[in-house]
Amino acid sequence: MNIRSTSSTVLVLSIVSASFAAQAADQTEPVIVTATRTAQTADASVAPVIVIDQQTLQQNPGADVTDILRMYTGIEISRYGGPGQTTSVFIRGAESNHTLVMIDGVKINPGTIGSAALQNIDLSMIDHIEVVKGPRSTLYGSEAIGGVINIITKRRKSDGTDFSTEVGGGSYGTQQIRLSAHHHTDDRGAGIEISKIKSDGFPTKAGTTIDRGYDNLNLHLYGSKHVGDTDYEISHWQSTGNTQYLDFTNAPVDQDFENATTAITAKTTMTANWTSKLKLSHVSDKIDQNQNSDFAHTSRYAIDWQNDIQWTLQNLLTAGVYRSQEATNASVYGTGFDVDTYVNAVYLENVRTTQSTTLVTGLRFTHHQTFSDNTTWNVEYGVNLGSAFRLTLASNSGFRAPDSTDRFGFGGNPNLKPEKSQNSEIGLRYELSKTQRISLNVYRNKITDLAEYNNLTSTIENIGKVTITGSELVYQIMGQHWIGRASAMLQDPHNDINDTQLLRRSKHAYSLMLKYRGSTFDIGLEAYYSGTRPDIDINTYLPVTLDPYTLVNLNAQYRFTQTLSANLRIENLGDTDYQVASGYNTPGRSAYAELRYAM
Amino acid sequence: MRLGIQHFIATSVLTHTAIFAVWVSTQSHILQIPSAPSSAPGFEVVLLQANKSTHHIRHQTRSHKQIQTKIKPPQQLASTQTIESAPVAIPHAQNAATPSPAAELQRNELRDRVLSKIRTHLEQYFVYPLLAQREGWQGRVLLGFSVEADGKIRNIHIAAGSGYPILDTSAVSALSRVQNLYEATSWLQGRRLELQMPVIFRLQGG
Repeated sequence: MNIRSTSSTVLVLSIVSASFAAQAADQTEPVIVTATRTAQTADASVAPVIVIDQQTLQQNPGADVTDILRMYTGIEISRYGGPGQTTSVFIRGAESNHTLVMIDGVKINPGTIGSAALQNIDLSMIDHIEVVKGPRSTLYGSEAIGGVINIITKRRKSDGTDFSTEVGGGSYGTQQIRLSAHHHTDDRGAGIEISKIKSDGFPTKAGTTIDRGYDNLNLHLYGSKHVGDTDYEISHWQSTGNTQYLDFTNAPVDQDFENATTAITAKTTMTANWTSKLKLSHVSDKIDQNQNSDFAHTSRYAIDWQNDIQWTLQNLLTAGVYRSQEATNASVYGTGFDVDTYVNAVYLENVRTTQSTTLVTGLRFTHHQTFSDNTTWNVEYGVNLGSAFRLTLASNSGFRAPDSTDRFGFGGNPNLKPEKSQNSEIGLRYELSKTQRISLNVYRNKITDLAEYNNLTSTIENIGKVTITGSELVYQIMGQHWIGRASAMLQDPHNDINDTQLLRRSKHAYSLMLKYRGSTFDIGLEAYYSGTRPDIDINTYLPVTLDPYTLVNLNAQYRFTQTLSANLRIENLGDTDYQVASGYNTPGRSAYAELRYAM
Repeated sequence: MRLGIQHFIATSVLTHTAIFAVWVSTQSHILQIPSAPSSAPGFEVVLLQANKSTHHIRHQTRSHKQIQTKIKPPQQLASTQTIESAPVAIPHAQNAATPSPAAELQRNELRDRVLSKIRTHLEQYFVYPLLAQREGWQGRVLLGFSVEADGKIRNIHIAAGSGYPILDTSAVSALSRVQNLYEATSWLQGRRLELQMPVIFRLQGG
């Protein structure tokens, strides 16, 4: 927060005779109190938050969410081939199912197995993405061990109507069409985005020759109305399509997918210092194999009632109650389950802010159907040291409830406890100037009770132990025309049981982003380097080391008129041959272009 | 499992009772925002101050002569120019006798000095309440107050609210913490000032 006085002096001369002094008041230039809009997911003044804006998302045709995320410090991906193939996101070296993914605050991770299908979320419906690194289970519950990805979808907030359409295509037979329309008047709003993506893809596995394609239809709708002191909203997102892949015998197979969220939200101002939000949501995550009867279905209803109470000017208390009821139903190679699971939770968080400090304290009690109560907490503190430095200290915990496959799949164990993590972190931020900043974060995240297959008992047990120590150094410049970021990530993702480096995670990665924003055109460069990563060989099942690689991408936008623009993106400019999962191909040099009309 | 539901309900009831209790206990002070004086108490204030101001007449007429020589012509020009572009109309004294330009200027200079002092003090105290930041609440609060001859800030009130009581409270609270302007006592020379100061709460980015 900073305060300044306007330079334009406003003087109001009061013509004062002494007898009138009581009524005529003098006035002066205003004092301006400014603050940065806060990220919805966490307070950036104490937590490491990455915000990816719409412009960045829009200027990357042919990319999906994970292609964009991997360029940010502390985020790594692995992928089983080209567009639409299963993609894992590792935040700060934690497991792929330790990344909580939300759409507008609603968790979309499936309850069956694995992680959220980020590869299916089309960029055109996204307003911005917030990523919070480190455990954040106190506010968001299970899975928030490595971090949280919150995808905020588009809403029109100012009065008016807009319309846009995009047509594009590129390498690997990629074709894409998008339509969007939004309308807003003082008390109501509505919007729709539809997109269709189709790609012929490329052979997913090294040494194979059959292209594996992908098609995806995305739909996002919302309608909102303001009545009295309350905002009501109904919103829906869905992604449906088909992904072709190769099975373990390299035979061409395919599966249909459906990911959807529907939410009804009522948000009201109870009193001048208390807002209350009630959110009812339904999430669906379905995969159906077309060559056999394998499937995995998750259907989850959740209710979240959150209250924000500014009980003094310095203290904001968040208190909430959460309940979810989840039905998971799956069959994989003959092993299947059909179970219902409920989770109840209450959470409290207080944020105390003064001009130079922020103190966050939080507590959550979770009751999960299969294990007794679990408590998570967090304490985060940020303080300004002088005008340029900010120091942050944090200790926070996270957990992951066992999924249905852990409990009832092959080797399943219904008595599993949650996986737990305890993170400690110290951060230092230095503002070099108004447009330049350097930040350093050092952390240690200890994860215990990891659910792993025990060969001796042929059962999944809470036997895994992992310690991830890491540091992230980021330099950022946000000038009028030049925007840039250079970062280094050093980490030790260490398996404490067998003293090895965790699979598919590197010990160091570097990234560079540089963008020029001109009056009619923008041009950007991205470069990413990842060190060696251990993996298991796809054919021999023996340990293997994946080679380091450098990936360079280019993107550009040209604005012909106010309404017409073109986007271009070249991925893997150097045509580097690399793997992020043993035996699986990655895109070579490829190009995508898109024409956009917006009014 | 049955135990779980009971536990959940019990914890939930407890939590909400706690929230309610906290809320009730905080309601009493957080929302007590002094509003613009209504006509009845305002009248009282005027009466009280009318008495005081008779003293001021004497003081002022004396001090005018002392400071007159220090006033520079460019300042006078600047002041007159800005009067016309003043964005907020202030109820001027309809029956006020036109004072000498020297008297006006002296008063302006005094007022500017006092306000600039207040602003310096205020900068340490302003808080943009987090709820307002999260909800995107922005606005302009017009604070009214008086600076007494002894440097004490009195009669702090909202001359015009922002539409968000939290922002109004925050502005009043910041000014209340200034309390005293001992430095100003010597400039005031026994006079009191009736002042207004706009405070703008504005969110940036995102």
